[in-house]
Amino acid sequence: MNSENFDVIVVGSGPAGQKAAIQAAKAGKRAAVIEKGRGAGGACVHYGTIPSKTLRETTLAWSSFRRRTSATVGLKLPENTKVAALMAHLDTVVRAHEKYIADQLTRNGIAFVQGVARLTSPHDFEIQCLDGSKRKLRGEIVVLAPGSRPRTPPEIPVDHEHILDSDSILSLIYLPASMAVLGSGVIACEYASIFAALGVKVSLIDKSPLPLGFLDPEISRRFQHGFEALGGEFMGGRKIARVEFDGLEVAVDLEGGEKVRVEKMLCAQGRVACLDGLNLEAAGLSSKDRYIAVNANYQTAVPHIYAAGDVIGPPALAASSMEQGRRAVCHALSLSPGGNGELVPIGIYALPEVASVGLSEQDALKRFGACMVGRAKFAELARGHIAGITDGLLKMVADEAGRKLLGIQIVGEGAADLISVGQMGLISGCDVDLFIEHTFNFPTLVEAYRVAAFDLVEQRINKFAQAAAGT
Amino acid sequence: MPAEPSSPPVANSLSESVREGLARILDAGDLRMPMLPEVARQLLSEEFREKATAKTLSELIHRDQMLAGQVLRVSNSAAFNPGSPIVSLQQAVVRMGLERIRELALAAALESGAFQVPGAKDLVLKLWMHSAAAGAFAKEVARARRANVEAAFLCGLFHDLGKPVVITALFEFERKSGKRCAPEDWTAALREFHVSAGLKLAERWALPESTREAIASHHLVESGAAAGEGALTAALASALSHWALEEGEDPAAREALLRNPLWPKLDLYPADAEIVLGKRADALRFAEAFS
Repeated sequence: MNSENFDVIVVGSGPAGQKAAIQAAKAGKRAAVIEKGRGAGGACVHYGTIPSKTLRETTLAWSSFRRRTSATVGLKLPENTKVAALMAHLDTVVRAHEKYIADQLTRNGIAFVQGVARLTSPHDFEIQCLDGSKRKLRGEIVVLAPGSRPRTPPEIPVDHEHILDSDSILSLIYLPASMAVLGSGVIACEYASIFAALGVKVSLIDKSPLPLGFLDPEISRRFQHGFEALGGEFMGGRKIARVEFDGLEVAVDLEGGEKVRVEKMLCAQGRVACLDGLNLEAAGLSSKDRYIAVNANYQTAVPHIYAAGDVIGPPALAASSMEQGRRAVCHALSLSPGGNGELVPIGIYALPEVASVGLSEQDALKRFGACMVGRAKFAELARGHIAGITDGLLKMVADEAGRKLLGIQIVGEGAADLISVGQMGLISGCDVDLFIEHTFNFPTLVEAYRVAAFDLVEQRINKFAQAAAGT
Repeated sequence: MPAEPSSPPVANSLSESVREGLARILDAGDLRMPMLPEVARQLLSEEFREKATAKTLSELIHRDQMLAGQVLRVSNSAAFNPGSPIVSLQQAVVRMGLERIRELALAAALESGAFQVPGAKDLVLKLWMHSAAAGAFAKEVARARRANVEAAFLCGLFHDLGKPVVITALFEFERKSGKRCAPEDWTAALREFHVSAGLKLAERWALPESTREAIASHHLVESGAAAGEGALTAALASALSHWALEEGEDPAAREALLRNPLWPKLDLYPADAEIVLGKRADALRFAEAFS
């Protein structure tokens, strides 16, 4: 069997793989993408970002409508509402996205090869196709972006029927009356809040004392408050002793004797890199680690092999993966990627939505020993009242003098979009005064930046006054 | 004597008189379904009454397609006011509670207890075993695809729902006409009528749309026609069931099954297929509960 030769071979067509292949093609190289699934896009399109956000949008529309009409109409979702019905346009969205990616690959002359990739040498792949047949591909440059899959702890008997993971949760055909969600990370909090907003009795269980524990605790507590306002319960600081489906319910026994009984369970305790079957050793790489180790240019220990996306570990966000894929190929082809690519925003599509960019209050204190924080509550904004979004908060982190912008954290509807304003401010190295000196549309939630900046200026003046009084 | 329950498509040899008679009986729409005697016996036993748990009841209902169908039908009926459709047995048990489902299942069993299929005991048993194994395999196929396991089970379990209906109708025809049908008439009648009879019953029982689609289209996929996931899953589960019950020890049959074009149609790779085939013992255990 002869090998098909390419300049660049990319394993995986998720965000990292797509952008790597497109960058290679734009540079005039012959590129191929190997993808296990039928359509392009990887888990992001079929199990991750796109489907969960589609469900979230429907839920958000429903909960917003209910909130805005609560005074006039009493609305409740009927019991046993089909999840499939709530995701009515999921197929349309997924197909549209698949087509968009496929068109982009085709337009750039990139070969799409469906199959399971296995390295046979540092440059060679054997591809097993769906029908069992084999193909051989050879590439001068290799980018490994096979993505990740849900982690299943050995003590949790995931059966994809009663105890589901973040892939099979999307197969639900009706809304359960109750659900336990194990974990407190991004995926756990997104699904827990979505199902709570749909009227499911959700228990979010984790050993961490706060949900989204990697964020500023003030933001995490705000999220927890919002989640509990939807009817969810956060059970932090708990350890699982035993999980079992007893024929009727999922029985969750916690250490210390607490018992939770639910109709369905979602196990969302992280994701693991898809390294199975890649045969990394044949290329001189190790598969013993959890992730593939790379340097700042996304280069592995084998110089012509790069890795990007979830397979190299955190932050494992679609946006950062895209940039990693692009930068990896730029480095491989000696092209300048532009910018430093270090400032990556985080968007958590939970209810309420959460976003962060730059330093948090804790990061700033750790790095500089002091900082100043301005706050804007959405309840102080005209748009917040109009849209019925009064539980949001924007935190603006500045240096000790209250002048230089260091970071933004937001919790509340629209957070993932709103954060981009702060991101641009950080990229331009602006002072917080910028948000006061320029005009924003009124009424908008972006005004939160102005309110938080005024808070900082007021603190700055008080600090100056105190210092002056002290001298 | 009746032939094997799942005969491959062959040239139609059903005599006109049998066809007309059967069509008349099936169109009348008031055929009563046979119930697996063992299930009825268990449901009626004092021991079961005392020791029934949600788990044993759920397992018992899952074993019997007729009972499962009746439970779904009744739990969806106006009398139980479900609010919105009950689409799975698990959901029915959880929603309606142990006692109510037990009573409902008992009533369904009693209602059907009077119906026997004299002379076709072995055939009906084989049919149920095939359906049960198909239900079990459909769950494994769904698990491998991260698709809905409960819906897939119903697709596998009910895909040949029409066959016991046709058997009952054939006996009814023989009783009414005073004629004995030839073995080839049994084979042809099952082949010709089981889809329409199954669909009719599925509609009457208000079975979920995906289950009805599986009943309607599980044979169409053999000819390469476009079909939904439910039908593809049911067709593959049916092939797996035949293999497990009839050819499981034959390496050539296993190889042929691994080459079945339904695997790639369901986006399953050879490694996925191996995992599903590895569940043969579980599927057999589930099916053999009827023997």
